[in-house]
Amino acid sequence: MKHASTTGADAVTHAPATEALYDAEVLIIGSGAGGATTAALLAEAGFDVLIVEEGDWVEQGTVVPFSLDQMNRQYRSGGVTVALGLPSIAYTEGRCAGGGTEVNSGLYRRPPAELLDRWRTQYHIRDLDPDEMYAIAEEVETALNVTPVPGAVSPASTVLQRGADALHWQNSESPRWMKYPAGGSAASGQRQSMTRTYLPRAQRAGARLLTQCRVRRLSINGTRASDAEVVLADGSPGRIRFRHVFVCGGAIHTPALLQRSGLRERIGDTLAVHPTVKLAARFPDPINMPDDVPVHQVKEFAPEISFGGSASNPGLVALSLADNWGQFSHALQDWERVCVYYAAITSEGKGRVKAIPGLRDPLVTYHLTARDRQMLRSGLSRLALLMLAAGADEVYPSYHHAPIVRSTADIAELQRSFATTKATVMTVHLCSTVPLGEHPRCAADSFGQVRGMKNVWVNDASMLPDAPGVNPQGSVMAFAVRNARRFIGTERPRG
Amino acid sequence: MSGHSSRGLVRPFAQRLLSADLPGLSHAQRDQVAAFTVQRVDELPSVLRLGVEIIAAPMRIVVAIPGSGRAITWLIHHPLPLVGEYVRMIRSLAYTYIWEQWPLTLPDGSSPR
Repeated sequence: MKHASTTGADAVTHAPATEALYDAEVLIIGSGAGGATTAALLAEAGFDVLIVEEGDWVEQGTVVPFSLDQMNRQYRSGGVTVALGLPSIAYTEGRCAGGGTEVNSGLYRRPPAELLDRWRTQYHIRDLDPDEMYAIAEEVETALNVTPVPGAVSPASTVLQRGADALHWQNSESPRWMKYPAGGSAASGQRQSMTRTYLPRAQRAGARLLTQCRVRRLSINGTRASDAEVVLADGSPGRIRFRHVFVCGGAIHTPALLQRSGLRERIGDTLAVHPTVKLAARFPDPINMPDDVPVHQVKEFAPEISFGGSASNPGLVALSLADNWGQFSHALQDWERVCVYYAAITSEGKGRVKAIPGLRDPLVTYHLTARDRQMLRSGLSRLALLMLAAGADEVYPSYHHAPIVRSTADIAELQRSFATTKATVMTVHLCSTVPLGEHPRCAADSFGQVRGMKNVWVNDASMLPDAPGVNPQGSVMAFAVRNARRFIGTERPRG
Repeated sequence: MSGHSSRGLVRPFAQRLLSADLPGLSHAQRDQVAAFTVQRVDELPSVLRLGVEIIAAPMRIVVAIPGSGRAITWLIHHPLPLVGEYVRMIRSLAYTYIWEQWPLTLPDGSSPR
């Protein structure tokens, strides 16, 4: 039997020419917000835990945030992934130790009380106690050092605040999981992602981590899974035997793996996302902060529509101007005065994830409803208004043949000419492909146990019943901790 | 990821698009950017890559036809279903790369003097 190394960055072990064999009491597939928290709690409870992660361990500080180098090293497919539809929706997924927590904005929102209440009643989630969830949220917030920016926020963030205040729209700073040095500023924070928090904690409690290890399928016999076929870093095959498995590969690859393993009922049919449209806005003074994002969010129309800011290095500014390059490209020469902002909606559309025999990756589709299209139009128009109210001298909406918006009168032309089929629609929030609850549409029970299986759980964004309308990581982690505790309460370590 | 490269399908179109969009870009830069777009297409998820290659194949043929310049120009400036998504993907990859590698590049692709 082989064992993976128990260190972080050195965690890769190489397989011999024959199939390598690993044993674990609990196998956790994926090391993001769901997988890492599950691993820490189970290892601390005495379970023998092996975490496998398809990507590599990338030490913080060795890549420039939001750069192409980061896309290469920490994102799936270099950051180019698309849900097909009319329009197609571009999305990104982290693929590295720590998953999406290593590459996202680091903004944190608790699941709102009304959301938990709706999920509990609509999806018949057993024992979903808001008090328990908020106690867990506090615990997570302490572990991640969720905190507002010390001192002044960035100029790009102030834009959102200033515009919203001028329009009397509700807005607030979203806290982040960051540690700031004494006297530090917005730019000096160090993100408290999974490689800084729950993964080291899991390892200290004895969990092993095997990076660059792709799980091809689970072997299932009746109601139990027994082992995982894997491909190791050097391309050689391996096998991991386990008593229990938690699949935490994210909203696309968790259902795809379950489907490849023969589990298809209600799995992958209910992909939910927060579709976003964006624009760039130019201001009289420099506002751009190339390797960070604004921390303010405008929630006047939440949960239906939310506004926030995106990363805006020169490459990403060029990307946002590309849809009407002939008219917009001059703005790039002033990129330090330009920043990219988004309008995100809570969609009523639905998507699917479908594993295709013979192909490595699943087919992902998403269909916006007529209401969604209208919300995106409305969201982009209001975002343009917000930018003008914040003092923008020119606004560049990201869709083909969009007008330059210089005054409120131009917004009418934006509303007239906008169509989602002409726009760059994207998302970074994907969820709900293996939703939990006792409702017949749910693929897992109220604690993430996959229907019909005795030892297979999901514990990542897949399990959220639908799109939460806020940054989902707080919701994912709260549910992951809750479900892990339930598991610990019902299963005993082998000892 | 499959072993073959989509270089033969994607590179000529990427170069043609860059010539039309950014005429000031040097040949060496254009080659470098086109190579980057090919690399990214090769890394696409398998289903998506298959779809891209299905669209890229006829586009490659159009590019190869003598005198097709105006047709190409029309195609890259109109958001047609599917074809428009392919154009957008190549353009997005290329622009992101150019302005990350050479942030002072002017809007026509030329370098500042």
